[in-house]
Amino acid sequence: MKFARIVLVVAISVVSVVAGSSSRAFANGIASADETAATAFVGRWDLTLKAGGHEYPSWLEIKQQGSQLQATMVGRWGNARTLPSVTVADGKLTFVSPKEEEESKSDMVFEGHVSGKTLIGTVNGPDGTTWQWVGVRAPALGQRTAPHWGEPIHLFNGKDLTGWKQSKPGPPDWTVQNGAIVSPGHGAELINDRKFKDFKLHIEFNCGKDSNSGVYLRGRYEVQVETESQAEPPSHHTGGVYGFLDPTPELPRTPDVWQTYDITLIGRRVTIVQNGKTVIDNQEIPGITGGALDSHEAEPGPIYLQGSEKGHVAFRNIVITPAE
Amino acid sequence: MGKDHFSRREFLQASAGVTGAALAGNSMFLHADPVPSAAQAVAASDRIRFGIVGVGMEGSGLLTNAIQLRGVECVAAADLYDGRHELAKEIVGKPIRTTRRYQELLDSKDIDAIVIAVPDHWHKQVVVDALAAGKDVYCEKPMSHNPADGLAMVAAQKKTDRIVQIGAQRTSSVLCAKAKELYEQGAIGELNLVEATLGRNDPTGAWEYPPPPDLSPATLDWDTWQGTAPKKPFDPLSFARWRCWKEYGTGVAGDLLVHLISGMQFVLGINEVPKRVMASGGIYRWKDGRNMPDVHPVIFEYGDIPVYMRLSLGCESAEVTRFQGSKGMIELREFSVTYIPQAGVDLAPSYYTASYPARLREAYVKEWHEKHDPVPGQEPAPQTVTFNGNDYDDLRPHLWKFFEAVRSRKPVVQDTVFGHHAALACHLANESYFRKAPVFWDEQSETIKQLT
Repeated sequence: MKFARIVLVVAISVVSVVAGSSSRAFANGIASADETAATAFVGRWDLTLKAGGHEYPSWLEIKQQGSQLQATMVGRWGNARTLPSVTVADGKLTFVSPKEEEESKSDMVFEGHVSGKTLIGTVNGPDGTTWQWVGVRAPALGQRTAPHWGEPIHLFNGKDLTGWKQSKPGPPDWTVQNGAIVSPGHGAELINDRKFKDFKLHIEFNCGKDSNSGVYLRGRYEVQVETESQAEPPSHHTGGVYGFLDPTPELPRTPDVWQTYDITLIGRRVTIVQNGKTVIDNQEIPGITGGALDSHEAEPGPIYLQGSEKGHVAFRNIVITPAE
Repeated sequence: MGKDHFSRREFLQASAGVTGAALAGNSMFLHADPVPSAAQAVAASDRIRFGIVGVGMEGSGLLTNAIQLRGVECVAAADLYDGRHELAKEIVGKPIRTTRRYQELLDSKDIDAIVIAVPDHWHKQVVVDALAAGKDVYCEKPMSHNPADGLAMVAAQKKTDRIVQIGAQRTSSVLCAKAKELYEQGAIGELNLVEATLGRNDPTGAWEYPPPPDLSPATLDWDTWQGTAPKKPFDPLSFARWRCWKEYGTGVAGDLLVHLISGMQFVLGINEVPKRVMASGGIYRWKDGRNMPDVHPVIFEYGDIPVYMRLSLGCESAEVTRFQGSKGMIELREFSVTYIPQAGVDLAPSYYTASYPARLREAYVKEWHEKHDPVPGQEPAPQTVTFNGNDYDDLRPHLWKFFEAVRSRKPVVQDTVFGHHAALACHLANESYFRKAPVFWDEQSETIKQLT
């Protein structure tokens, strides 16, 4: 028994876990080793960071432009962002997430290998310990045929929080007032019990002044709800998919007024109709957005309402029509 | 989502020491059978009450983990050092009986099981006494301090229907179970070598532990602690750093090699003594008066298979066990098991033909490609697979297996026979080191003999 030594050994043992042996070349002609190695990492990856008992979802896209690699990442929170550094050498991928984004004293340096179909690696966690992470190739989520819509389901009964749970233990701080669910401000997330794959969602929202919330589709993709993000990029505005898709056209901000979303999500393609006006038309969501419950994109997931960061936001008439 | 999202706030609270709730997520890791926690209520009649003998570094970890298990309760603790009576109460968080005399725990009718984490030279006596008193027993590794102790413990268990489980956690690890499954499925073909390494390079890793500052003949029953060892004046270093000396411990073999051996026995389904053992090594790094080696490489033969295990306290290196066979390798590490398949065939014309003149080489290469080039789309592409999982030294699954067996009365994997074989391999490794010669276990005389 040597539990006291575990932390030390994590750092050592995981860094050196095998590189993939699958790209073994035949003698008669193959691309240079470096190019082969880099290609193995190109694409979209659904990441899971493991720290203590916690798992944090993340997302990474690596593109090759000429001889250069470029990486976009969604971390444990916040928006998709371009990373300052990504390199592949000796079959090892290294990318850096700046400390300012991570609430960390130093930049988080991710190092990983391809192992079979997964990426596995380590990163210096912001808590001073070494975290492990794994990545799987993000599924395409392509749709071959038009969906057949099922019966509409009311997710909110207008009276109480039956069928909803908060993301932290203890008594709920969300309340039901006048047939609407009201966020307390600085609160936890409100997560529906049921999981869906493809669906049409009708939801009405009323966003107070200077507030920020959102509706997460499959618990992974946030459709923004806000009245305070004028200074930020368009995808952070109401009607956008946070960090990825801009609402076009953008509707004027109307605090304290009931508005509607009619959202269709099929695979990774989303259409968002705000107050009867199409603001996002059948566009692809590249990956999870900050605050996602997990990064397992192939799986069904719940509707979740973001506990407003500041201010209050209310939701009502939440009706989902799942694809059968 | 904005700059103050709950996920960020929750993380900051958690890092500040306030418990935050984890957002649920499906794991891509190997999951152990769930170990139910103490939070779930169990009827009083179904509760197992245990006493712990020895609340030192290892014992305190066992105690902390055991009381978190469902339906498991600590009612008493014995230790020869009074400071650990205080410690045991701190860990359990409610009043429990404490004593210097472990015999009092064995006499207690309300105790079902005894968890033993005393120095190696005391294992046999406490285990034999506990079994005689009708208790089920969990005993730290290595099971025995010497071969004779091991034989006595096996005999003592045979006389009873009590559960005994030895504390090398890997037989309860999902990672080792996955390695075992791969091996039994023939993933690596014919096994032809097992190798393992483990290295540390720091005083604590080399057992230079700081003795408790209040340790004295007043707070410690020094006479009893010495047990079977030759008597000497009170020495706090012997107490804290007993692993350094053969009079009390079994060195790096009994502390660490036993984990590698137990894991290997489990994965390969071996439950026997190695045929031959040859060890080398010395005291290179920690010249603090110890008499056990700090560098200790050992070659065993299990049946016909060579097993090469290198232990060192003189240089840090990753802990890994590799099972090597004709079709590839299984690599077992603390948090992962990796299967690395090998085609076992030439993937290109033999480079020996560089020694042919061009006309012969070209003809050979042409023919080779005709015969061996894969059909497009059917190239052999062996895929390395890694399974991640909880630390294979995690105590909880192993403790849970023990307490489950106490409840169900079903036998455990790591009983006294299994534990005796693993410990005996370590005694052989130590004996070979001291004799500077290959040794074997002589079944007839039940002693270790030198190969001549």
